[in-house]
Amino acid sequence: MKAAELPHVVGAALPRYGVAIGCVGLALAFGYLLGPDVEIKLGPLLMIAAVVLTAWFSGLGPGLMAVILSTLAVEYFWTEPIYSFVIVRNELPLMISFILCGLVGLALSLQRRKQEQMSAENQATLERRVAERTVQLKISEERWRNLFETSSVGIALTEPGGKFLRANQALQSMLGYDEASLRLMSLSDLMAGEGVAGPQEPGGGLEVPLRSADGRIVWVSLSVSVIPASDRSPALASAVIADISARRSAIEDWRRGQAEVAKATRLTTMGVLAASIAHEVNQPLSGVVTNGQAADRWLRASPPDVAEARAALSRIVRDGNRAAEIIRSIRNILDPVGDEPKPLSVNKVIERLVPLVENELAAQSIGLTLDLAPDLPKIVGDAVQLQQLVLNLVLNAIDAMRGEHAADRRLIVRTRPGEGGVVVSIEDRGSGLPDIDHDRLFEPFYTTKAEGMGVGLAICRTVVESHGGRIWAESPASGGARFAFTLPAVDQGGTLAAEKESKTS
Amino acid sequence: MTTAGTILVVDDDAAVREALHSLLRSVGFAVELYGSVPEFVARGGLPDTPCCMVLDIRLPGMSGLDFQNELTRQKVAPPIIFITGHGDIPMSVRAMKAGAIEFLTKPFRDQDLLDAIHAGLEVDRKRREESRDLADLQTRYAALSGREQEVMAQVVTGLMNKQIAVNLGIAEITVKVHRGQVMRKMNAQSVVDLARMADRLGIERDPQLTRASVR
Repeated sequence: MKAAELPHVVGAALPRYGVAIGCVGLALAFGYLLGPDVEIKLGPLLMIAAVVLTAWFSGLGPGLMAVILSTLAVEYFWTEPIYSFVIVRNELPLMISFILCGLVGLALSLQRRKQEQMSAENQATLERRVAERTVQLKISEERWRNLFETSSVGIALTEPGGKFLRANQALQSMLGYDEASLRLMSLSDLMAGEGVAGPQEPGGGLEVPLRSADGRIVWVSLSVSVIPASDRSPALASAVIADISARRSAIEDWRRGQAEVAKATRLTTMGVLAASIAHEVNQPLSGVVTNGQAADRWLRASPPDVAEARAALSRIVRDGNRAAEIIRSIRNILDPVGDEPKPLSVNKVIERLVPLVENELAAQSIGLTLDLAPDLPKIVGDAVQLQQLVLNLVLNAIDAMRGEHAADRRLIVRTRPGEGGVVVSIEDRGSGLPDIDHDRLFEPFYTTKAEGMGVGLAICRTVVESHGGRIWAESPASGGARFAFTLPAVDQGGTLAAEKESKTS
Repeated sequence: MTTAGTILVVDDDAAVREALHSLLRSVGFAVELYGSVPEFVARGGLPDTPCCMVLDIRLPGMSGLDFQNELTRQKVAPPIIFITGHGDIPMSVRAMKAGAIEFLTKPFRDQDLLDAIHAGLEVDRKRREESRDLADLQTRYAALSGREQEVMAQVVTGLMNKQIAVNLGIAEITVKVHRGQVMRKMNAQSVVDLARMADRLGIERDPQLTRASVR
């Protein structure tokens, strides 16, 4: 094994030790050529230089070898007796001095050499690290670029003023412009109209219509964030632009559907009303007919009973007037109020509705309690819409008590001042609310009725909210359900109190 | 032309009530007016004379149809004529199935109402007569001795005197005597007549008895 290693070790060490031999040899040659006769002994000086050089180039081992060789050379060539290794006593201090000088030169040279080596190593480490970092940066840059380029959402980098600097592929294909043409434009050039606030949720930025290259309107959700200026780059804005055309058109479809459903519901309500009206008018009319027939019979009797006949005739007049009165009051209810909302008394709206549902209540054997607070503030609203709202809730309550063999079939309509206006509640003793979050009741197409479409309460909420109020459902301790809504009051000037508050604040 | 009877009017509308009162009095009926079912129940209920009820379908508290069911359940239902503001077909079918005499939509022809009332009174009169006859029959049956009732049961089953004698373990001549007593006490003209009475009294014919005797 040693035999196998030896050539390698020797091979590595040979040049280094060769340096020692070479340097000392050179010094010897120079010193010798310049001659021993020179007053100052040049040879030893050169020997020191050889030691320093050897140590510098080849390190400690060859350096020590050079010290030994040069000591031998000095002893041989430059000390008495010349050309002999015999050491004379008086030459001894000189030899010792030479050896010391050689060792000091060796040490200093080694010291320098070590420093040089260390700094070279540092340099190399630094260079390696820089290279590694560069690679990492390249990967990172590539990753971000990929994210930017392949994102399905449009991403743009703009100047703070909105001028495009970069636009990714998704944005280019969304708008139909390439990046070069976009760089000539700014975001506001593309806007085709006012933006609207998006849904209240994370990522629900502003919704704006943008005009694409072919003139099409693309509704997008736009969220812009500003990248503040740093000492290296000016301020920038990054815009994330998502195409929401599909979502918007779905919402618009739904809105259109809702309007149609509202119309259908109104027709249904009118149908119920018509039946109710028919019954209300039919009662006195059938009184008129029967009284007429009775009067005829009294007069045809022998002898004719004029007194009875006259009594029947006066009932005819009375019942006829009653029928006319009912028709008049219904016309009052159904009269369109016009588009202009005006101050209204909630109690009056409710009282006018009562004749319309009395019949339905009687048919279901439901007792009605009207608990209307006097001196309520006036509210501003559309009387027809509010009547529909209350009517809808009342008909719901009647439905809830249908088939319910409760002893206490009761409908309570209550008004109270409160919540900066009027609180109206409609309470039944029916089957009660389903065991779910009550807010869900007002969602479109949520229904518990077999034949229901689940739009009634959704429309109720729309009406209440368009009047600035809120609507909710609760389960009263007495059983059944209670639906309540608020309507904000108006002050003397006729503006909504709540509105005014928000203006002054 | 008047038919003796009381007309009970139940309608929540005062105008309709008053008009009916006048009309029905003009043809000579006794009339009682009620605004609701509870009012009717509170003020004494059905009279003891032939009567007929004019009932509004839509009433507060308890509807006319529910009231009809209730009366039928208690087996005291008088003939009922329904009147309604707007009757639909299912409603009228339900009323007629439950035994209503007529279903009239307001306003109605007075003659239609009066015809229905006459029919109703006739039904009630018959019903009352029948129930009176049944009471008579039950009294007569109760007057029979135990042995006579046994003999009657076997006679109406269609057995010969001889068979009855074997069944009851008595002489044929005794059967003949009992049989004569049964016919006399029940006031029956023939065996067929007696059998009809047995039907009305609900006396069961024992088929096993028949088979045993034939053997």
